[in-house]
Amino acid sequence: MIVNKISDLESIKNKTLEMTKLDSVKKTARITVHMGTCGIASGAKDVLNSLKNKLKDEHIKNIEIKTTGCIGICSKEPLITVERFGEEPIIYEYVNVEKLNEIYDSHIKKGNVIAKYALARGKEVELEERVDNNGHIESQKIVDSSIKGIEEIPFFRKQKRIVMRNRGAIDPYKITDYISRDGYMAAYKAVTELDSQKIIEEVLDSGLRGRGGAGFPTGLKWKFASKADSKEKYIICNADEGDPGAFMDRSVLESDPHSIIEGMIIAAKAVGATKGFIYCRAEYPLAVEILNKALSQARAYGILGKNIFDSNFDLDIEVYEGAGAFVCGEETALIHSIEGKRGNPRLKIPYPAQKGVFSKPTVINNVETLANISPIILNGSDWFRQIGSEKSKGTKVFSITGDINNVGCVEIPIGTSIKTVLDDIADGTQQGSTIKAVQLGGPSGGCLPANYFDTQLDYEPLQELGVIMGSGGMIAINDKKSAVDIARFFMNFCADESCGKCLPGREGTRQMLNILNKICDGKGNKEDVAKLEDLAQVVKKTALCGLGKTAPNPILSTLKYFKNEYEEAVKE
Amino acid sequence: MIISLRDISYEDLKNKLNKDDKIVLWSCNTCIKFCGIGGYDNMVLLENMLRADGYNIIGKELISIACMYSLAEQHKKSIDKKNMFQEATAIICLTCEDGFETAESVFNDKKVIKVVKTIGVGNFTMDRGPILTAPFEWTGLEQNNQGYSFPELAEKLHLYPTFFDRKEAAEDNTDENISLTINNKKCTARIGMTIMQACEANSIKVPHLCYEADLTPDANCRLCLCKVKGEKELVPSCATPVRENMEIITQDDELEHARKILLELALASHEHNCLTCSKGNPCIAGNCELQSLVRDYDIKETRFQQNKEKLPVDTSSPVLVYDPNKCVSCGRCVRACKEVACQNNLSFVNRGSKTCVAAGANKLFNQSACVTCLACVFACPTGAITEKISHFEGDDWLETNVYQS
Repeated sequence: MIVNKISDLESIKNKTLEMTKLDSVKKTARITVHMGTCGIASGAKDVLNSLKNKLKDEHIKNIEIKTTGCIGICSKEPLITVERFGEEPIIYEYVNVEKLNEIYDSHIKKGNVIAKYALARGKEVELEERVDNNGHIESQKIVDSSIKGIEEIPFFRKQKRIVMRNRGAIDPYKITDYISRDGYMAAYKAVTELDSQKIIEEVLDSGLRGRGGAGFPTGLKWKFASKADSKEKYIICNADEGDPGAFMDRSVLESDPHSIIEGMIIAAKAVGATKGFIYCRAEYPLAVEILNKALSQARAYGILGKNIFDSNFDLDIEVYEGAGAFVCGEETALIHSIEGKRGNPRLKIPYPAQKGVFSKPTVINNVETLANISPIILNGSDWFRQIGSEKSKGTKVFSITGDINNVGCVEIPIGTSIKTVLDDIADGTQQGSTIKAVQLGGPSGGCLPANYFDTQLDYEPLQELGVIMGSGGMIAINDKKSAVDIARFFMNFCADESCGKCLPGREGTRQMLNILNKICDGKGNKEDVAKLEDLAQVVKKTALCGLGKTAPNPILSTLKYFKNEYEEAVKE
Repeated sequence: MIISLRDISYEDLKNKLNKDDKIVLWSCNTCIKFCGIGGYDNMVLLENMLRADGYNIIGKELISIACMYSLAEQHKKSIDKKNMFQEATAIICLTCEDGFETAESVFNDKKVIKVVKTIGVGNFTMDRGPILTAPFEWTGLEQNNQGYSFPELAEKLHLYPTFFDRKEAAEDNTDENISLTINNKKCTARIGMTIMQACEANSIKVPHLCYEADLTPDANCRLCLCKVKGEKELVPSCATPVRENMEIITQDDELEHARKILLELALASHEHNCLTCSKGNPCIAGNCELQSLVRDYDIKETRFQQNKEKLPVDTSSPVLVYDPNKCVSCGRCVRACKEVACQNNLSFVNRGSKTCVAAGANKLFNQSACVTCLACVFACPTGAITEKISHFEGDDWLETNVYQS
């Protein structure tokens, strides 16, 4: 069907909600298997297949199987959520085929929860409601109070979900699921009711800053592009996430692709673009598949294409797969790549907002930025401004990895301290060791020692300390690891991924790596450390693009905070 | 090398033009450049002269070999220049007569103006400049071992020994001038100039490797970075336009230190063995820009670990030799192939420190679409792409007495 009016969206929403409701006869239970790439990698596909076979063999028609994206706590995958009519949903962790058989026989069939396999009671999307009602929802019977409620687990409670609002709740392959959670309402509002200036003002007022790393105000970017004089304009979603240890964008793309598409529709309306690209790295095959499916569904519903919502507004979006170069996440290199050229950065001036893809004005926004747009349009900029710190509004998604217990994707209000994330959300490190440092912002970021863990996660406070928030990679490092080794790891990555265009980026990174290798092999001397610092400063000042300019950061920050480890390493 | 001399005076040239003509300057980059009549610099000079006299110059085009019909056609049809050529009504040819005839047939609907007279075949010498050794019969000159120098020829054949003189044109329009300070010195520059051009105009030397006047700037060698008041980061002078009252610093301890490190990095990228390199010979395409920068900056050796890995030298082309071991990846050849030759035959392959220039689809030169026009040879600042004929050739360094005071 073609969506033309707001009533069309509402009728889809109501119909979907009606269809997914559990009852005592037709649909007594629903089993949700969380099938992000992380889940699939740990065996969710086997779980899903054996579940399907079971229902088929036993000719059971009143139990629904649903698949969704990751719910954020990747280290506990595979996860399944079991819902029975009138009872609290239970999330099970580390599920495999044997455990599934037990859960099936005891919980799904008879209603006896297996507490030892359970992670939590309740669903993430109902978390706020549960908190308001003292940890339980009236229509749901408490099944086993020995299991922690989801609101009692810091990992979930301390998060604030805007970007990840739909994770674990919708099937990314179904546009109706997205619409049932107020999807495309904001796009409808923007396209039919608001004009370009109004949208830009709303986004400007919200204080939303680009989540790709630089933190440039999104509204301002749109304003520049909307003023550019051209018939053709482009809107690009930068989904070329390549930092080691960062997977925020993948998580959003895989669990909620339509939120990106909706963000792009609103952005396109604001700047006057009629063509969009989602530049997604080819190493995310599942995300590419899901995006393509979502785009074709949106086209089928008339949400993309000609004359969207019967308002004479045209937009089509296509997925463009990157060929594996990290540097293509840089705006100008990304533009070259879409044009079919070698993905080399160029000088930033003229800005892409004036001269971008095919020499036309282009807006490039990060996945997470775009996912923030529709809640802002729907709830207003004032609502958004309440969340976050003084200078930076809203939330930021971090992918927390390394030596911690809860590895995964977390969305927290900007301004939360590093300590809260590491100790509460991530649940600390394994026993017998402590976290001595945290690497923020991937290879462009820096290493921050434990005595700075009270620092707020915000653009400026981090920059003052010589690290950056970046796109949101956070790697915890325990005291068993060497800081020099960390610097070497990231330098190895940068030297490998340099595009080879400018001299400091091409040769400087290789030489820094050479020196680090020498030090790590125990062959270094004091002069090497001085030479390394000197070279790192020069590369930082002289490199052409953002990648080159920030490549020495891991070295400079470890030299700043862990100089003693370097000195230790070059001692004879 | 084809020897041509200027045939018409500046007045004659102006008589052939109308004030409403849309003029394109068309110059070859090979023989005529060494005769002192063609090439980018002369095009700029003539452009400025004609501009000052009120003519409408809509563009200038450098062609690697202007007597090749197919090349001229490709320039005319290239996506970037197509509109300019369609609009043009007059083409001034800074080429030999052969190149003029080619241009005449390519642009058969336009006024094509010849500037030179071609008088035979000759050579370029280091001491006497271009000389004519095999004159055409109509000149009535005898072939001799010494050859004829340009002043001699001009007198005998009633031609001009040099290019047009700037003084023949009207004074520059001062409205287009802006003032700025470079290294705390008051300077003037014209609107539209880059910092690099403004520095050159004011006799201030800014080191560079990847910049060449006739190619679009790429700003990848980072040697020309300078400080501009009000800018947070260093800016590349080759690609930054000047503004009124700009305050520029092109030289201080910090910049010099960074340049030194960058040059050391360039030296460490490969083993640059100057003893066996043809670029050091005093010949027409001699003088290695990397070597002269290294001398300027007093660099005795690189402190960084040198890459000893040898890449195979490509000698497959009949006219040129490509030695990737001497390449500094400045990309001048790549841009020259695209812009001066209109070929797109050269490009970069690989990533990181393994990045290098390759012909065709990463093939040997003779397996690629190379038209052997030498655009890349003239563009290369080091001994990476050299003319085959120049290998183990060239004169000895001239002996001169040096007295100590």
